[in-house]
Amino acid sequence: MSVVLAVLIGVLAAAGTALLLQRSLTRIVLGVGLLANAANLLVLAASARPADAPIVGNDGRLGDPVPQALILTAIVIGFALVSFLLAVAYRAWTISGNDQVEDDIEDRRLAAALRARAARQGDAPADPGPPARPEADR
Amino acid sequence: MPGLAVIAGAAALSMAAVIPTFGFVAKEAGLQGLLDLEIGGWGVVALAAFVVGAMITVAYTARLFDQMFGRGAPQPRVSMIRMPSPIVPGLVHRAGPAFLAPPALLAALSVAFGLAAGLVGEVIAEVAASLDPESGTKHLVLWPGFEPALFVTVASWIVGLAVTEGLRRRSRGTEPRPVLATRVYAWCYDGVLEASRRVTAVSQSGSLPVYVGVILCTVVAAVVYAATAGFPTLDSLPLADSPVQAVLAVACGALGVGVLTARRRFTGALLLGGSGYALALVFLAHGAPDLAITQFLVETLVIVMFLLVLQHLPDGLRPPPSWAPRALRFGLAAVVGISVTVFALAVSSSRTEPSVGRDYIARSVDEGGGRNVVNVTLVDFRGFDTLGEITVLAVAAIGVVNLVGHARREQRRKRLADGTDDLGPGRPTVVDHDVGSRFRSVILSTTVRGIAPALGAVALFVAARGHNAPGGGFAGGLILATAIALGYLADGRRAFRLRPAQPLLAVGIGLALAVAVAVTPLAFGGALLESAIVTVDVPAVGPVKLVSSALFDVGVMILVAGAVLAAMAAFVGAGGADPDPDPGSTGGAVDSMDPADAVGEVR
Repeated sequence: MSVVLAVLIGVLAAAGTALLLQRSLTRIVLGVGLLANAANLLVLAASARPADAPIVGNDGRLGDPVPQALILTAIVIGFALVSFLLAVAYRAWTISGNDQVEDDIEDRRLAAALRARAARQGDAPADPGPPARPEADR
Repeated sequence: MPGLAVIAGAAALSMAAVIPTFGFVAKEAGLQGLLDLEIGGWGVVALAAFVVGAMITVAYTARLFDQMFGRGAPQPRVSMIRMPSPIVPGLVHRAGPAFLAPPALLAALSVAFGLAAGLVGEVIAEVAASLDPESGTKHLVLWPGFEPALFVTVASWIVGLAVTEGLRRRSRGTEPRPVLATRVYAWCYDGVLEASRRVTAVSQSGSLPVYVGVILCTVVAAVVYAATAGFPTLDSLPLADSPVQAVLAVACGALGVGVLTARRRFTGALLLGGSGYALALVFLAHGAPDLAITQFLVETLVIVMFLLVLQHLPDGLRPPPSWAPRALRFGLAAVVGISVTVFALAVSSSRTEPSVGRDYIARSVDEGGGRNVVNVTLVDFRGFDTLGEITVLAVAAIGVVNLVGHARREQRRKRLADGTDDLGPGRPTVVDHDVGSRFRSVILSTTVRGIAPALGAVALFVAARGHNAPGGGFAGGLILATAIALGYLADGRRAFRLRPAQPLLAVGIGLALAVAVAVTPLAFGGALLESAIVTVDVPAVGPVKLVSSALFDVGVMILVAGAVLAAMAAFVGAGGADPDPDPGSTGGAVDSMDPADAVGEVR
């Protein structure tokens, strides 16, 4: 592939990554869109140099049809993914009034419960009672 | 439960190898085989294990049956007090026929196979002989005669029953004590739970960006490792394949980076679409017109989707409180970008085998009946992939419809509870309904009304020619969805009465058609998705070649159109415009959800 295309793939991937690392679901959707484009271009550019469309009857060197078929379905799947994420964003907004990705409260609570237990056991090492179950067990 | 008792009894008899069940036949044959062997050291061990196993099997089977149906069965009142067993006969409801049928079938088979042991044995011997020709002499029989094996089996019945009876007497009137196995099980169970808690606490902070960051770092590591296998020499690579490519790449990249700087959601969506359009042109310059068409249509529809959703969201895209310093986030993004670039350069020069695509091109016309190899690959050579892919599409459509539908009901409930049938004050939406009304015009409506049917015809044309020229079911379906959506928009704000369920029906029809085309060849002894090519002489047109896989593409088209429309209808209906035609319930908020207004904003 040409250097220009390789750099373009990198730029799209970097921009998509930067968007993906934010908390706003809308930005995450935009980032996913850019990353999908980067991946599709990577597969196409890596498969062959520019050539004629792989249609029997075209003169000249024909491109590789297999990556093109794969990318075609990938484009449509990418569209489905974006639509689905938008539905998630809409849902998040109706529930919480914004579209930000919150931390997983359950994970936080579990970690806090284990820390508290460790602290308790540190205070009273002779306590023979069974270890208290973290709340998150339920 | 007499029916159940009979079924379980037959199965238990087979398990315990009691004549005339198939279990008896099998165990006899096994014992016979072991006894016939030249008994060596291991032969004795195997025989002993077999016999002890048979005894234990008889014992636990008898105990199981006894506990469920016999003397040990839990009695109504006593069992309630003795142990809080979940099996309380008074609470057990009668099992229906559908529930009893599967075990009944298996139990009947175990008896029937036993009675017809000779016939079954012949079939098995045939299969066995194909693996080991010498085994062909062995046959299964129901009654082996008074051989040593029979005595061993009878002995295992007696010992097993004796063990069960002994255990029953010993445990009579006492609480069942937890045996070692139960304690080990409980210990393992608690241990697994505790370990999972500790692992979770260490490995899961609960923050999505942190997870994504970890995944991306892994990707970078893998990519860099892969790139070391064949590091590219930049000298051998051209800077750009053509000046056009360079220009398009710069445009695509600049618009992509522009998305980062967008302060409004809508701006971001438009920039993403622009970047995608430029990418479509890059595809075209690369000799991939099918990809260009699909990419172009998808980018358009993505913008429409964003528009439909964003009218429900506040427009401002303030940077939310961040989880990590800006430098770290952008640093990680830069590392990802650089490593992906290096990877792209490395893979482009690392092909060692010729592509299978050459083969596809050579066989496309003869076996696939089409000249557009990309389309033939999609519907024929790799049609199974496509089948899976459109299934994913169908699932996504169902997911969108249900997510949005549920959210809408929830929101409605909340509003009714608040007594405010409004989105609330101070929430400016992308499409202010006053602006929308101003833009919606007779001219637009008339134009769209004329365009929509023509666009529908274009969709069918694109889908039909796809086998021989750029186009196909995916592109046709996307255009068809656009045409239908435009048709609805033309009729104004009250007309978008399309319920998500209707396009979802189209999704199902499309999938069913594709599956039907895929499996039909199986009925005629062909392979899955094998194409049939028929040439029909149409008067005044000449010979027309019909390929069965074109029907597969029709299924794809219907499904894609249905999926897109379902998502659109869900988003349009969201926010207040109830799918039920209920004009009384439409408040001020509804107007801003109007698709016609949405179009007005785009123009």
